[in-house]
Amino acid sequence: MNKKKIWLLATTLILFCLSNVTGQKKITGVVLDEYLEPLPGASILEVETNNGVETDLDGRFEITLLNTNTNTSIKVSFIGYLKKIVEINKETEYNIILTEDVSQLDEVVIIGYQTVKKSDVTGAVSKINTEELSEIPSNSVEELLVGRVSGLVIGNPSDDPGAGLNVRIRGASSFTATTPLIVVDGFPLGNAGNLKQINPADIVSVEVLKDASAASIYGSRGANGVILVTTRRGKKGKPTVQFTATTSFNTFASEFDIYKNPVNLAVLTDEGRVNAGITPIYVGANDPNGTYFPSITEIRNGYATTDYVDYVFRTPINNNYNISAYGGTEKTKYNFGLNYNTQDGVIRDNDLEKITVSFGIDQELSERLTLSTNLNYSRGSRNDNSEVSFNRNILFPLYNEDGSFFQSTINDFFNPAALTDLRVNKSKTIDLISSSILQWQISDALKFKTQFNYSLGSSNQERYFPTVYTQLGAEGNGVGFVDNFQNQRVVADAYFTFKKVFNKAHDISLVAGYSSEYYEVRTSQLRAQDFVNGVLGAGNLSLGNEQRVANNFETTTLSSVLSRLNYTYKDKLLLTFTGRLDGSSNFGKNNRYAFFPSGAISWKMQKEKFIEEGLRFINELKPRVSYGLVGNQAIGTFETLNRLGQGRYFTNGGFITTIGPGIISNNGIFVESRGLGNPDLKWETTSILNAGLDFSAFTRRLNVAFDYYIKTTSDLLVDSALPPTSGFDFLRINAGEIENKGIELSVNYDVFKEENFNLSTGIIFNRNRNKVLSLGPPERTSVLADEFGNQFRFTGTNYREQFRSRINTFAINEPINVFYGARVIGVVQSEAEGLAAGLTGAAAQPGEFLYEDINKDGELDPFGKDRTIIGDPNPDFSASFTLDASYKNWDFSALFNGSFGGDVVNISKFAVSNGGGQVSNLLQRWTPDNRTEAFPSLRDNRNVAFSDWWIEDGSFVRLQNVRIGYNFTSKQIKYFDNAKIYFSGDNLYNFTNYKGVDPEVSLQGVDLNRTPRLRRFTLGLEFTF
Amino acid sequence: MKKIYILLISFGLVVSCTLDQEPTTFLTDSNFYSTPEETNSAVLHAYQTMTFLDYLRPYMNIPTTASEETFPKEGEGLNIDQFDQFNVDDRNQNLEQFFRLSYIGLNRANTVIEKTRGAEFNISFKNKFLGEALFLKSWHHFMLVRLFGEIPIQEKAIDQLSEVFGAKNASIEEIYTVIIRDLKEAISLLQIERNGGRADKVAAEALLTKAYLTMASSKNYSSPGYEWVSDANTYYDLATATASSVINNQGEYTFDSDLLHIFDVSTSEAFNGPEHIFFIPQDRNGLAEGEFSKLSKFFIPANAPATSYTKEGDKLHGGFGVYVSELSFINSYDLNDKRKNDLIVSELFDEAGAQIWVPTGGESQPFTRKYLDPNFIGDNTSTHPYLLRYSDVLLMYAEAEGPTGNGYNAINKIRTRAGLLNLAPGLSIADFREKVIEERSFELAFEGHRLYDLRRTNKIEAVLNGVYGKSLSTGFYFFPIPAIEGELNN
Repeated sequence: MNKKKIWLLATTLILFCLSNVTGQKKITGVVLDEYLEPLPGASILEVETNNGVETDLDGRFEITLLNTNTNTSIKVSFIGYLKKIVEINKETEYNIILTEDVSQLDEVVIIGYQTVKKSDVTGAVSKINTEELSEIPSNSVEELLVGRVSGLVIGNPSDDPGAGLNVRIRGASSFTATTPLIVVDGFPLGNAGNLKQINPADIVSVEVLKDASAASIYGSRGANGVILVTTRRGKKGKPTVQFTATTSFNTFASEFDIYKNPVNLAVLTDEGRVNAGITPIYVGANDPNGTYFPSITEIRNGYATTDYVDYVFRTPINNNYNISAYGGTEKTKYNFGLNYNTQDGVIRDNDLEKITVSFGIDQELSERLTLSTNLNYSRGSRNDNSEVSFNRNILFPLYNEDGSFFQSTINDFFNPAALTDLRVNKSKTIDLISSSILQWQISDALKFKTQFNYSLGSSNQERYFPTVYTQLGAEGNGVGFVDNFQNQRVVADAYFTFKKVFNKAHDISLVAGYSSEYYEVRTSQLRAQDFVNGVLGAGNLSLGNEQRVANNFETTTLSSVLSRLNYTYKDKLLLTFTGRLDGSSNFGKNNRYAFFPSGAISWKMQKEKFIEEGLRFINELKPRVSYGLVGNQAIGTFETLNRLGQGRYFTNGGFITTIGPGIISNNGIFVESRGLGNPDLKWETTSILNAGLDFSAFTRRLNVAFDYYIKTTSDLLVDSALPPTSGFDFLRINAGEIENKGIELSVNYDVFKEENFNLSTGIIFNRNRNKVLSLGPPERTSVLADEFGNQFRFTGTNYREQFRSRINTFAINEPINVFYGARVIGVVQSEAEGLAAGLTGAAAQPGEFLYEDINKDGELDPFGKDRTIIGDPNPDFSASFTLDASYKNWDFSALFNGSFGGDVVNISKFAVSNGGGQVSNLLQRWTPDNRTEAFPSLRDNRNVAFSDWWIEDGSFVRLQNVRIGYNFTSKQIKYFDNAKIYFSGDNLYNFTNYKGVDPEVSLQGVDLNRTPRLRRFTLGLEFTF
Repeated sequence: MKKIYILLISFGLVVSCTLDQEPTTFLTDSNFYSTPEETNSAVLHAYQTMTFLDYLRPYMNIPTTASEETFPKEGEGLNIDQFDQFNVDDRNQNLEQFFRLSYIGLNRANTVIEKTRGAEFNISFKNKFLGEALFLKSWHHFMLVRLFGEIPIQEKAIDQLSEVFGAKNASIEEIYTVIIRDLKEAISLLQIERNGGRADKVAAEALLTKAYLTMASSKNYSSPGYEWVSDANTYYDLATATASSVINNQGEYTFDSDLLHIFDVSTSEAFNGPEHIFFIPQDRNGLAEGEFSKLSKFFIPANAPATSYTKEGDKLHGGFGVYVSELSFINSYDLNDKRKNDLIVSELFDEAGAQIWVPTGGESQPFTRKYLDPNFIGDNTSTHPYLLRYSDVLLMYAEAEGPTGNGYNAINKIRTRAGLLNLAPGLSIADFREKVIEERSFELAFEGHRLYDLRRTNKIEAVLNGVYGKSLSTGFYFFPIPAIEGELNN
């Protein structure tokens, strides 16, 4: 028996070897698509081996099979097509036809209260699968979308922990609200920009509704577009668990432009004082406030300085851990997510910590009834130490010799060490978002869906201002606050969907329903002062001798009816009609309801014969046109009523509460009087005409989406600044009209599409031209006219200290927020020149700004008549470029993001009345020995008019993100299905000629930054099992 | 289409929440001003405008620096420096804020006037509230006309958008007509009733005296802008009569023979002393600046010790020294003048009585002690501007009356209290008035009167440039109306 067995084995081995040598089988073939066009670059892989080849330009291949079994087969694959396994028989020549992967083509897109096939979308809608972006470390959904969607511009105004982003779709069409509505799983949560409650890792896709056809289903909140966020749901199958961990750290992307050399500080400070006729302070004596300032000689001989940047800033290391699990059976599916992260800021003790838990379940109750629920809970903890000064006199120490905190005078409340150690500002937030959805398939054609959404947001903040080192604390002998905030939102929707194909040609779907929303905000503040000591901070306010409380409560309701009709004729012609009627409690009785209709038409030309037969390289050619109305209801509660304010007045030995016209609030050190109601307040209405084209070709390797739009917003909601003689400062009115015209183009091309190597690039281009058509009815608003034909109104911030005026205007036929001011043609070199130019007094001296006599009347009036429009903060266009590549287990991606042609006011360019300014510029100041035309002399108390001298080109190209990752294959690792390690860098480099801190600023185009932007490096790990 | 939707929505409304929301946490003008209690709080709200820093600061900054009394400390900025040099532009923040707040005050006063005229409650309340509001309305118009000259008159409460625009400058004559009419009505409605920080009949009479005297003297001295006044003597006589009513027809407000006591704010009773007809009350226990005051620190030099004592033993805190006394003005007091010797601080002591501070020159100069609160808490004090006091009325009376026996008596009462000899008898009416105006500069120094006295007597150049050598460029008699008004009311 044994011998027999050995023989058998030996024979088999020999046979096997023989067959390997002699029986090697070579097969050839061609891979074609459905139209029998060759597919070059398709991959052919012999199953259960690593033996593979690719088709050549003619779609042909040749492969020598390793396995001689007649049972062997080859796997033929090509991206965008269904994989095909071909059994190898005795034939040596194979014609393989691949069919397009329709599941990929028929990806569904959410368009609000409904989903449609991507190919059937009639409006301007972009979809991003954010799972692809999951490796970009981000603290919010919005951050993920930077540079990813055409027409969507996301700016980052602050690097503070938990700070929101500026999100804008298609230019600014409003003054009061430019932020799109954000809707998470059908739940409208409010303005985009700071959706911190939702863990970005839970999000699978984001749709952006841009035109009226798409957004009018959200009616009075659709004017700025809508961002629809979809979170992960469970899938049938075995439980999948994914774990990711990232660690990141931040550094500054550029240098601080502040005093580092104390000699410069002393020399320049004194120069500015002496030029203003003020006595120098660096003379080695106490100044009038009793602060000792060393002499310049003393400083040159070595005088201790403090590196405030080093004290105030740190390099925080932040961690983000994420676990998600999902799975389910035929009838029950679940998903679970847990996230913990820290978002500590670069400022010492400026910390944020957050935990988010999400849970969702989909239960099939019967064949026709499904119930789903979602629950999202997040808890945040913030220690806010953001307002500490790093730009302090470097000759001031942090501590006195006895270890106490240094104060230059008794009114020096800016010692960062004292504030960090003694001041308390901590808050806890809790957010809960939930929705329950019941879907009932009444019949094959009719479906009913009702969704009940509830959210709760609450925060509790404790602040304590210690005595001596803070102004408030010094005034009140220690002041403590406890602030409570709670909001609740309830949104109930119920709607029917009817869907049926008639006569195989007429495909109709109709959505109709009702939506009702209730929102409330409740706030309260407890305040106490005059504490015996600050040991408990705000922990026990009853220890304060003086106490005061305040509370507020506001509600808003919105009731709406909505409907949408989609009609498709023979899968070629698509029509959509949408309408929503909104009624809002925020509006005056006279304008309580508004109707927002829209319509769209599109044509799937690829289904026409001349393309199907004649131009087969085209996979999609779909022109579409839409027109409609959307609204913007950014009005505070009760702004339609005359509201009374309150105060306290001391009479007959005690304070008495006073009540009368106007609510006074503080704006910096100035009070603002509001409270005048406007019963005619109504929606801002935006009409949008959109013409677009979707194009896809070469087996979908090239994808192009193009849109042209004209967006006109009328009845603009404006915070109208009122003349002081009215006794009020601001009133919200409807006044003015703005037009935005633009194009959006996105192009994606797969350069290489092979089994082991993929390379694709994408370009997004946005160009928006914005123009003010009207300033509103003259009886409601003030219109200024100048000698140059400009008709305008000032808007925005009043830069009282710096320029003694507002600098942005709203001017007819100009883009919004254009800058209005004087022009500087140089620097006065001699008094004679200054006087000849029309300057007088101190302003005519050498080293002063030489303004242009714009109206040529022989007098210089840079605060008055010699002003005109001098700049435009709106960019000419913005663009982004993405590159994604993968090679075997490696993948790589890069994103460049740029903005071109916008003007930025570099407000820190030079010192104004009381110091400040970028030190590199101060060093180039005009002096008798440096008769520059570029910078004026240093002079305290200079009366500086706003001029083009402060404006710079804000164009930039930013290397926004670079990622490199390695995927471990299942063979390389045990226990895991998948594992990945990656490295990512954000804000790596900014190519710009802008001289200030960062040209990426708010809509008004004013750079208020003093702190350089951050650069972030992240290392991430991901395991799936 | 829209109708069907509205039908659907009304169905929806039945099951959901209503769109008619009522405010539950703040009051609106539709549910207020109907009871005396409500209206009383509205009257106080009108007064309360004057406790905003944007009102208080300019109220002191402007006349204190735009006169020979003080100059601003270095580095306090353009908005103050401009007054010292009289080169004020239309973007000056002190003027802009004072202009704004005055109109906010006017609107609050006008609201009370409109709501009270039609009110149905007790007539005595009605008269009181109406009278006080008319007083405040006159106060604001009077301050504005003295600062800016031609300004818009506000006769109506603004409570809707259609009333916001279109205010036009009235002539100075029209403004005075309104001030006099309103004050006469206030006098007829008000009783004599002291309520610290609130105006009564005497306050209205004192203010009317001031308005008459401003008209009379402006005409008399040919001060710019007052050419329209028919005849100086008519208004001098009216001023005499009104002032005489304050001096002779009431006993609530009287001459305080104790100089130091006049400026005692240690208790709220003290700052209701006999002289104080009207002032802006502030209390050190307030929760925010405005409710309490830091006015003391504006006068105390920056290099004064953090804690020190006056020679009388009153404790004081350190200062900001924003207003630095002009030494030549201080030196122009008579050597025996108690208003210099007792009311100007030129040395400070420690608790034990050892001298620890004397002025060191430059920005360290002697300073007024009209604004010291020995019971200060930290920076917080009860010091406050004195708007109308009895001595002011007495001097106005003397000026209007001229060198009669009564006139001499009035000024000599002031001089005697100051430790000075009686004024030389037999002065001509012009010389007598010059002496009274000079007396006012000593008696009312640092109380925010001098600028207006210089203006109404056409003496800005002669005194500030001629005597004190200040360089002046523009705006001697009227400051420019803030640019923001022109930009927004167009």
